[in-house]
Amino acid sequence: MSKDNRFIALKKTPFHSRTSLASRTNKWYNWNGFTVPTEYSTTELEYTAARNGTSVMDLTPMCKYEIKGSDAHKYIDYLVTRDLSEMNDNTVAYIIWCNEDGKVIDDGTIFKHSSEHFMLCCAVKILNWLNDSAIGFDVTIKDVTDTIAALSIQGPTSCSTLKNYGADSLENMKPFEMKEYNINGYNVLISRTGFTGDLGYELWTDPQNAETMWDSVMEAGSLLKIRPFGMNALEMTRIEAGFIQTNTDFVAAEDALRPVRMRSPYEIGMGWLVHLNKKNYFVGKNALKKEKQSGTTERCLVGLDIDGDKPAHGSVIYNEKKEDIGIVTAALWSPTLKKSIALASLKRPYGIKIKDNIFAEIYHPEEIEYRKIWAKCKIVKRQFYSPERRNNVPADLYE
Amino acid sequence: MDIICVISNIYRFMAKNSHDVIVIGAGHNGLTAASYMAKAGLDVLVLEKNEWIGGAAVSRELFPGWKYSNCSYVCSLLRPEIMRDLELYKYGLQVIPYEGSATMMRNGDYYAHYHDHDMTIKSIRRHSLKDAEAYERYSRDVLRQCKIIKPLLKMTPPDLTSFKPKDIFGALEFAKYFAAKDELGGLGEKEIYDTIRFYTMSIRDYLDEYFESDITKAHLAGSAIIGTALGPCSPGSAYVLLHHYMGEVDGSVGSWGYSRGGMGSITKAMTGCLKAHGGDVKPNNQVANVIVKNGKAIGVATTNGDEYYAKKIVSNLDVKRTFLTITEEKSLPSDFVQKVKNFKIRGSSGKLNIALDGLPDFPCIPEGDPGGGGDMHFTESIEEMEGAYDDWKRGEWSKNPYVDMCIPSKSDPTMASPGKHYMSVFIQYVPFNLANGGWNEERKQAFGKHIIECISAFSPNFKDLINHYEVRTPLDLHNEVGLTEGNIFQGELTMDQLMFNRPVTGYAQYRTPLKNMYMCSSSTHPGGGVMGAPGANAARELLLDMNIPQKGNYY
Amino acid sequence: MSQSDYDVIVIGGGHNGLVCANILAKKNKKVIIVEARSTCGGLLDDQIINCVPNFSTEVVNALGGLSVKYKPKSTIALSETGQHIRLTGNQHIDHRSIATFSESDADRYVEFHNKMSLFSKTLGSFMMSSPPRVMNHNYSDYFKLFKLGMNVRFLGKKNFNEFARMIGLNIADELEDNFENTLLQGLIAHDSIIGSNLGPRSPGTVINLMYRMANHDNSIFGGNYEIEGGCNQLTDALVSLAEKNKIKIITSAKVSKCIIQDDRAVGVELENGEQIYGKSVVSNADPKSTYFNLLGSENLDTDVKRRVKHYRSKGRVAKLILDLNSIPSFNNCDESDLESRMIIAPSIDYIEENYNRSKFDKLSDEPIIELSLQENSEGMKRLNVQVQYASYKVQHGWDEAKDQCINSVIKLIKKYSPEIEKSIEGKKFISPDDVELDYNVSGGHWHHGEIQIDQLFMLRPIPGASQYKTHLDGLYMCGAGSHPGGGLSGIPGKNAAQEILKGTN
Repeated sequence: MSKDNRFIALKKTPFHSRTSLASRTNKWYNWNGFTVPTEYSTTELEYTAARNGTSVMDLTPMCKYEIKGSDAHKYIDYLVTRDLSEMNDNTVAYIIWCNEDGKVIDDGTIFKHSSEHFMLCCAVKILNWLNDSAIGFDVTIKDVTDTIAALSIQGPTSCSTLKNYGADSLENMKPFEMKEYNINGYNVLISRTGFTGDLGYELWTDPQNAETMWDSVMEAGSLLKIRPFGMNALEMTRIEAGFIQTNTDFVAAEDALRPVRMRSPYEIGMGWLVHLNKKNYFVGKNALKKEKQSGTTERCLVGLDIDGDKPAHGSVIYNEKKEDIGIVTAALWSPTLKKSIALASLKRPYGIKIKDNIFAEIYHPEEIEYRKIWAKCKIVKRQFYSPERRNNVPADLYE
Repeated sequence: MDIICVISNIYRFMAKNSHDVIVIGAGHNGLTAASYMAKAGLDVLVLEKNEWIGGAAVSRELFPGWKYSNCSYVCSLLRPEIMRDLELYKYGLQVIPYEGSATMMRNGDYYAHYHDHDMTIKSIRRHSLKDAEAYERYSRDVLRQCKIIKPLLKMTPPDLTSFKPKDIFGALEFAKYFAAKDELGGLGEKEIYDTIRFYTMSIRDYLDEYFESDITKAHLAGSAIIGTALGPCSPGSAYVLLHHYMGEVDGSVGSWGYSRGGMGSITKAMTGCLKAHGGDVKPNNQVANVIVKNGKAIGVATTNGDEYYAKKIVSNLDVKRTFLTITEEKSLPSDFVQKVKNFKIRGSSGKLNIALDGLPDFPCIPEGDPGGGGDMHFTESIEEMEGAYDDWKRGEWSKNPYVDMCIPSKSDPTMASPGKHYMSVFIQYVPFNLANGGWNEERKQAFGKHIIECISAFSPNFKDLINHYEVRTPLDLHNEVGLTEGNIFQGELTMDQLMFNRPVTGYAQYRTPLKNMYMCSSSTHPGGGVMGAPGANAARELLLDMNIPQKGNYY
Repeated sequence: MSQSDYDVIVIGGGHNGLVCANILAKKNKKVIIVEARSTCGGLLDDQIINCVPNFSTEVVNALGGLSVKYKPKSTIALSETGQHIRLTGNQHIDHRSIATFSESDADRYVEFHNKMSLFSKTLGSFMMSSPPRVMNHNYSDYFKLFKLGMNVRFLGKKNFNEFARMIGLNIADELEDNFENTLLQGLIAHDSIIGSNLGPRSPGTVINLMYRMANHDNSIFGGNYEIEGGCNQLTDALVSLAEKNKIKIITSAKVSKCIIQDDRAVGVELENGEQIYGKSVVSNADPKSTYFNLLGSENLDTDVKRRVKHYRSKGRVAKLILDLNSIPSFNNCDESDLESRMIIAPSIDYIEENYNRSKFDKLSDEPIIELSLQENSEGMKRLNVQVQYASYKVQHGWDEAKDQCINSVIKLIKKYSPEIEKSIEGKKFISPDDVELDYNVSGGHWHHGEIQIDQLFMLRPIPGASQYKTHLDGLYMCGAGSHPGGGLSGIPGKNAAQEILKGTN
């Protein structure tokens, strides 16, 4: 290891030579111990690429774990709340997993290669959780965060871009399916998954192929309005899509310092992923059953459609009596919807039974001073934006 | 006529030597207590036996051109509220944070933690991926314990044997704070069990629940054995770890720092505050005994024959020195005296203070790596650490000691001239009662040489740079500083001697069986380390007894 | 087999399982005991232990009496110089005996014994029922906690303070403060660390001693008991009581797992595939076996698995059984001495050095041993040797270490009985690893898990499972891995039975 490595706290991804070259701003972000660009040019242009053309994002810092063994399928089904007993090979599922109190540790995606080989992708490091959960199962868990390079290719022209890149018949892939390709002499796993709520794919390969993959993909999309995509733009698209982010919209149970900050799936709108009737036991089942039965769920996560045009960053939410009933966890002025939207954590029954007379107190910065705005909010579905092209099969092509 | 003369002389004499409060011992707790009382308007006199003040928080220029923090060497536990109330910055106190910490390995590698969290994680990953991840959960869990205990530091432990309303109320307050309602939003059943376990487990068992590699565990376990008569495998050692983590430097709980100018700056600043509020410190005045009349403490007599009188006497000496040397046994209840005799205060630490002509090379640590800018160690496993403890139990100094070394002059320009360095080496374990005859000059030097050899194994040019060094054994601390048996905490930090049991069950509220006499030293709750909390708490109790309102952030 | 053939299925016919089953059967429950080995009794076996503390009176009463004869057994601490110390448990006699070498020690001994008795009686009030949970929003638990606190408080201010001080204390300090004779110190220290992973200087050893006393009506101190006819008599008594109570017992039947339906234990499945159904299931196995094997790892939350994994249960006692062709002679010992529990633990430092080795699973060349002489089934003399600090999974493994251990033990005994080697006809060595295999106890631990404060009371075996209920409805635990722990008191079995009765009524 060279001397330099010792002093630099953050690692470079396998794409670093390309991302640093592509960055016109030199603005970086610390994601899971790696540096990735916050924005390459301007956030607005990058956001537009995701809604108009093809956006390319370095996804490598995502935590990735390889789970192999004769009990792998049984183990995964035990680990997560969702019923995966019927999961097919070469598909991907969105999942959450909880601790013994039914508090969410993280959400993520699970990729099934075969009953004995899975890959788990998530935001928070959980190698120890996975290993401890594996007691009694015939599985081995490996942290492959550093040994898999990944790109996220999202946007209306993304299917065409990847076809040009070499992914034959990609338009026939259904959402949440995946396939192993061999392109330009190396293996690439392509899955129809993403975090923008739009048509898109994720590419997974060995780090040594990273640079050439980047170059080929950029070349393939050169006429399809392709653009590298930074973290700021990602934040915009994911809020529009209504996707939650760990440690932003809720605190991961294994990370929470204050026990009262932990959240159950029902409190973050993930109740639909909890299959209490699942035949086998899963971690947290007893606690979640009790919670459902006793109706003791305290909070909820909702979408807010806020009057006016000022984004409600960090705003406290009030009822008409000006009582504190919650807080905004993520806010955005959406260029597509032309609305101020937000995700908010509210105390029940607000957001569930009581949906009227909800207000946000927005502190809008106006040149050193702040203007307090009392904005009326409408409780809406979190999925603010979901175009049809997201799920179309065959996917849209531009030829 | 003569009689009136004599009487008026006596009166004048007494008035001159009469104060509101006399504090025995100008260690940091004594000075803290004195400053709070002076700020509240009392006339306070502090008597110190040595020529210099500060007790174990001192800076001494024992070799021209080099300043030694020759007892305590690092500042972290000093309560920020005390620093603020006593305006210590005004009187010169500035704390400089550590940049990192490292354990050097015999195979040439090293293990380090840094000020920057990402760097620390990356560093641990080199040794174990699982440990790097577990470190975050471990830090979170220890931080939780710190937050639970923080408010308890400034509380007077309730007397659980009393049925007086004040004490029952105090016990409920205690329980409420313990439930960490403010800091953590309240504790659930699980968290309470975790806390009980943390207080009763050994650090070895506790660390085994998180980590797999020996080096990670050894690096972290050090804080659990500093100054104690316990090894890492002893139940109760996990609590000692907490004791060392409780400090904060600028809000980041658990970090450590140097005080600019050495530890003496702390006590110097406190003296500055004391004097600014009308108090006084008299060095070269060793108290020989407390003057007792009609069951009350009314003053003290010094070894040079002077007598001082006061309404209240506060002892900053450890509990054994206070009640077995300067107070007559007959003025105290016999079972109290017996308990004081049984109070465990075994010293287990030694020190080397070294004047270096330049910076020693530690090849294990890459040049410029911030891991070398803080504490350095070379114990690679818990087994080694426990072996060091086993030697101490036999009455020997550890053949393979645990050291806590640092070079304050790397960050602090006032300790030595530019390019020259002062190195502090704190050693566990060193017995007070050295087997086969005890300490003498020859054995002391042999011990010093032994430590220097141990360090030289990691630094080839170390010996050549030594201009001077001072060796301190527990016996030296006992004699010179007044720490009985050389125990740096003035009493072991075991469950039977903590909180309501400290120093003696039934007398954990800073008051003594002798009326008007108080204790403010580290022998009282919450214990030792340069915290100031015992002093501030004692001052509060005294002011309460005198019906004087207390002000300040600490209260 | 039809559903709920039985009211209660007891997995394991160890003494706690037998106690539990008998108490349930007395209340007209239909009970079956399923034992993996060919006989019941578990660790209550002459191969494992010989000097048996008596069952607590409350347990015997709950059983409706037990026909076992106990023979009082004195203790003798052997000294190389022949100046042995003898304790009978009778304060008067012991005072005289100690006074022969130290008057002050004799007086202090009586004081110490009284103090420990008082405290262990107080502690005893904690033993007989299920530990309360903290913050469980359960009023009966709060009340229990309050009552326990009051019991301690009503000892009086002085005693309360002393009790509070002693909870965290180490036995070495207490002994060195009170006694001058090193052999006496060694003897009491030995009884404080027996079977544990602590040394005399470890905090928590005083409470270890108090705890053992509390579980046995204070009768253990100095004086112990032996069951006339051997340990198996007690097992036989419990088994014949079981037969009287119409409990069915099947042996050589190992349970492979619990049958779970609708998140509830409804029965057990044996290794041969046979299934037995019952309304409740009680496990007398140790907590690790109960959770990981019987309950099944795949039915546990990860946090629970972590806690069970960290439950410390490494065995520390080995047994050497020497068959002798003649009655051995020990220096300066008469016939009655040979009938005592003979201890070789000359001083605190000797014990501590031994402990130092065991901390990292190494063996010492100078072991600590407890000897008792018996007659075996052929009428020959048998010397039972209990070796302390002989670790489970000792360094290099027992196959390699066995001989070294045996040789060091015999070498040690020779110092006190020079002719012993000539009498040895047969040797049998049982390590904690062997115990694990033969008796199905994880770690081969006597008490199914360490007796240390963080694994006691409401934390035993793990938080959330300290009231004899596991995390699975319908599956209970009644063994030494539950409150109040091991030591052959029968109390866990009794308490578990009470919990089950509460649950099913």
